[in-house]
Amino acid sequence: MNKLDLQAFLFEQNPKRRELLDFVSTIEPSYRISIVRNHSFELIENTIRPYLEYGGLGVEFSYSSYDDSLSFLELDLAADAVILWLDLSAYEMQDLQSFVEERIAHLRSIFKGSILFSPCGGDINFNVDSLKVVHYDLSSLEQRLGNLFFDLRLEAFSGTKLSNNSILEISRDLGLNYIPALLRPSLKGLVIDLDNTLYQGVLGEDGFDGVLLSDAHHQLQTKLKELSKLGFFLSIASKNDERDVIELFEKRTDFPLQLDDFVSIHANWERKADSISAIAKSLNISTDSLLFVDDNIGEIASVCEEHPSIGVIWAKDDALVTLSVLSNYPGLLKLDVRIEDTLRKSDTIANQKRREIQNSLSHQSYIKDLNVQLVFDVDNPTDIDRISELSNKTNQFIFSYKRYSPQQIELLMRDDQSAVVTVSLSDRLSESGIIGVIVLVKQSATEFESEWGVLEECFVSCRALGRGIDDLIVLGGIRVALYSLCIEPMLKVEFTKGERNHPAEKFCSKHFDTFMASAAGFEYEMPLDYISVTVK
Amino acid sequence: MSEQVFQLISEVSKKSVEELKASQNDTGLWDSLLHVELVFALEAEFDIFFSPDEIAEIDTPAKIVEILQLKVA
Repeated sequence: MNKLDLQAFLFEQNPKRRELLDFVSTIEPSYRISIVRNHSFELIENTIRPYLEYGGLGVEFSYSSYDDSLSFLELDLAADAVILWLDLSAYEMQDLQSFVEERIAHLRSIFKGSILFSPCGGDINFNVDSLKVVHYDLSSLEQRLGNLFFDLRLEAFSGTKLSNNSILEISRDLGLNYIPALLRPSLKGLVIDLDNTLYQGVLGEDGFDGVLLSDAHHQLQTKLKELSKLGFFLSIASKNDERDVIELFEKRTDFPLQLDDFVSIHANWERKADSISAIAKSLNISTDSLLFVDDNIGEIASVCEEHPSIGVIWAKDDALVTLSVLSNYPGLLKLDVRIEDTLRKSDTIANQKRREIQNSLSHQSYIKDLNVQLVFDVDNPTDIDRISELSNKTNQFIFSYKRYSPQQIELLMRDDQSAVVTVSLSDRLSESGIIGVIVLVKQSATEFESEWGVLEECFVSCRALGRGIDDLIVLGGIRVALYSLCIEPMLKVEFTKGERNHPAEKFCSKHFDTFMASAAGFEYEMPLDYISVTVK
Repeated sequence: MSEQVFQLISEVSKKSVEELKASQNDTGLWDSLLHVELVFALEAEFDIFFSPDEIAEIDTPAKIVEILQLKVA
């Protein structure tokens, strides 16, 4: 079943349980999720495959025994994620809240990957935010389904009180939304068609005042606006005259979406595949981080041929179907929206202005004119979450794909044999926040030999690249890290070639050819005459 | 109805109709999770609702047919 057939199956045909059970997955499992539980999860696994397949995921589930004591003795420590699946009604203890919170804290201390905690059968407000686990709350589903949430007739056989209705809804939500968000970085942008996608009608024929904004299209536009506010880049790829498109958004004040919600508008008669290439280039992201929404199956086929990894939604005449797909599209759920996500859009618009200035000035004058300010910060615990987030999101300028959890970063910061340096960037056009990280580990051959620094990992957000300060971000960060570890400026660089880290590879061959095989002397002078640098 | 029931059990259990007919009075043809899947499938197909006793009782293909004939009639 191709992706568009799967979209129709999942979102329009309202598949029955047996149809979900009969679905044959074509994706080999490449992720492992360990289920730690005191009630059954297997009936959810039975129907989750088509939803995971829609998100391009093959997942193998492994199970603990039913363990009310939450010993975690059977935990698969090599799993990519853990789901803690708990029926609270199995407990009769007084202080259940403290017990569960203590066991989650223990789980957090021994398992470094993502953890999803899902309790049911009790009304306790767990305080688990500080433990960095995703709290999957079933209470709204319980309220909605009422008496149909549980089905006690089957508990002796199924091993869970949950009803078939509950199981089907949870399976869909976990498969489309939560599990993709646990296992993969989110998408970064959406490219949207206009005619018969964002409204009913054809702009070129009906005119700006003739196209119809149905209630369903209004809801769809509102959802897209929410995604924009969450930091997803919205762009338009439409076969229309650009002047007509601008007039449309200027004059249709009833549209929830307005011009400033979009980071770029490609309204022309070129191939949409070319418009998407241009959008990806201007955003400095890969097309597989984009989701393309269009009502024209021919356009979708043509775009997928050129960009096989792009996400696609086939927009339907009934915009509520499109809205349902959009609201559940794998990769659009952000489990933790950070301030950097909302900064990203203004940063991108500022990048377009930077390019204009860059074309009119010399490199040094351009940097000076922008009033670029860099802050290098060493082992600052308040940066832990952002560092982990960036390490899991960055795909292009990343040296070794270490994908650190917050706990791993914390350990590296505490260890006096390693340094974690963040690089924050601002200029007169925007505040970018933390855009790069250097992780350096001290090493020596013997106790008496001189020490050197091993660059264990380096990653830089695409938003910060191409501003003419890439060298300063990376080489300056290394210098700060070496200095903070009080070792001679000797450096060895680790690099792992991946599918998409070509920009990092290019940087390494330019600067680190002599640092790959063994440690070598490292020197770098920061250009302090035209950039403001602060080291904390 | 009998044929329809065997066909449905066959689809859910992934066992052939012939095999199920040959051992229609045998218990242990499916495990507890498959038992639940069978209950879900039978209830959806025949638009019925099994009582807890009936759920425990339908442990062979023959008993499923017998109870269904009583409920659907």
